[in-house]
Amino acid sequence: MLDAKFNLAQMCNKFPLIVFYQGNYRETPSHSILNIVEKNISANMKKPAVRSILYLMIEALQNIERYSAHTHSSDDYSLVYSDNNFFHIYTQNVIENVKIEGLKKRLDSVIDKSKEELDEIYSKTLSGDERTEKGAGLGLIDLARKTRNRFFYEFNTKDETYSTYSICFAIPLNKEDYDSQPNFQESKEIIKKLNQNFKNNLSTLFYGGDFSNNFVRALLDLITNVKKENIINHSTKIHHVLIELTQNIRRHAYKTDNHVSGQLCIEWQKQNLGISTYNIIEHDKIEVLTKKIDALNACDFKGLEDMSKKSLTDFSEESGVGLIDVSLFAFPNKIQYLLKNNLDIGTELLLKINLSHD
Amino acid sequence: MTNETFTINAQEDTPFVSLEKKEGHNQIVIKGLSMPENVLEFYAPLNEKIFSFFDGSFENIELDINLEYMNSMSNKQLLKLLKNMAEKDHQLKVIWRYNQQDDLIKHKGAEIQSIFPHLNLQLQEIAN
Repeated sequence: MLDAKFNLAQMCNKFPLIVFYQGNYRETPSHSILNIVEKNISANMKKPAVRSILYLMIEALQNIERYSAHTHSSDDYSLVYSDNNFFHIYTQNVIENVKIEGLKKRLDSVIDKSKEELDEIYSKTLSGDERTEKGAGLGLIDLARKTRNRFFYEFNTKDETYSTYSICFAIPLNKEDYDSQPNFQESKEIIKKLNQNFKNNLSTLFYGGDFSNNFVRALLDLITNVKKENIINHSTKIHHVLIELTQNIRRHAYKTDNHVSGQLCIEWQKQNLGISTYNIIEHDKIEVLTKKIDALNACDFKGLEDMSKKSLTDFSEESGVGLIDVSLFAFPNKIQYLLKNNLDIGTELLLKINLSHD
Repeated sequence: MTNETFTINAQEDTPFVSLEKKEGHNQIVIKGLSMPENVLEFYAPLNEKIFSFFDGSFENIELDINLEYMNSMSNKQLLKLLKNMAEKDHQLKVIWRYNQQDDLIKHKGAEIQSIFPHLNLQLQEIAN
């Protein structure tokens, strides 16, 4: 199972930002997802570009909240990522088969239209009487306009009553990309890989990008506001594990120009909460780290408590106790890890822990 | 003796701190969130300030700690501070507050009690 996660991590490692959220969109996670993306892209993009992307994201994500049949949370998801040329927004939701025909008509009325034609359709819709039961269809038209019609859509039948509806937009990030075509085939491959890894989860968050405290705060906002469900009593435990793992990446991962990137994945499952991280560690740090993890995994609970006290009071070194805390909270589950020494700059490391719900 | 106070405002990742010198009663309050990326940038100067403000003497002092969250590195720095202060004055009194539903902060307080059994540390639950 770690190999599959590792393959996904390696596939996504080249993107400066990738955020995937699968789950119950009645919990209205859009604001929290937007927050995570905004914290990341604001550091590298000008305000108008950030506003434009966030506006289109709101339209796309709220479409899931409004239009999904909300029957299968594992089939409702959004994926946003940057490949430095385009910003991709991919959404999927479950839809009742009886609604497909009307939706297809609206989609086909905008697909392959020129900019001028789309502007005209937009103005007519804005001033006209056409309304859907939940909106005017302006969101879709605007998405087509702003992405200069760079989008595709698909319907896939689930059963007699339901299908999944997917739509993907790509926003050019640079002037020189205005006349290029995005790589939609890659979008489909990423989705396929994400589904292979996460289709059995109740909910999943997969993030790849910068690991600053800004990201940690945005992440905690999603956990606190969206994933309240039945884990209130353990929320401080989960917060602590997430903060420790993400700050560990910040402290120990390979840096370029003080920029640290990595990946974090949270999987809400029936029995467990699975948390995994991926990042690159300099070669000379990896042995110390793996020795520490092996020592932690070899301890019983009392042994971990003793290690914690010893490390907390060893003021001669600045080594942390974060991983000890993670082990304590995950006990009796162990820290799993996988290493691949493929790179000149360092070793790729995938870590995974499971926290039981009880 | 005139009263004297010194405060550090809470930031996004660091707690509110107040140091107060009053006749017969000195107090340090540490309150809020502690999860800075670089803990030494906050806690090393704080340690120095506490010692210089109280002239290295902690007689009649009460340390009131009310953290809604602290990361593990903050935990270590707080322990260092407590150890340094307790070495100067064994009468140091610590109130460790925790929210009713917060097992983590309660656990951390109990852990400090077991690491420093002679420290006068009282765990105090705050109702929701």
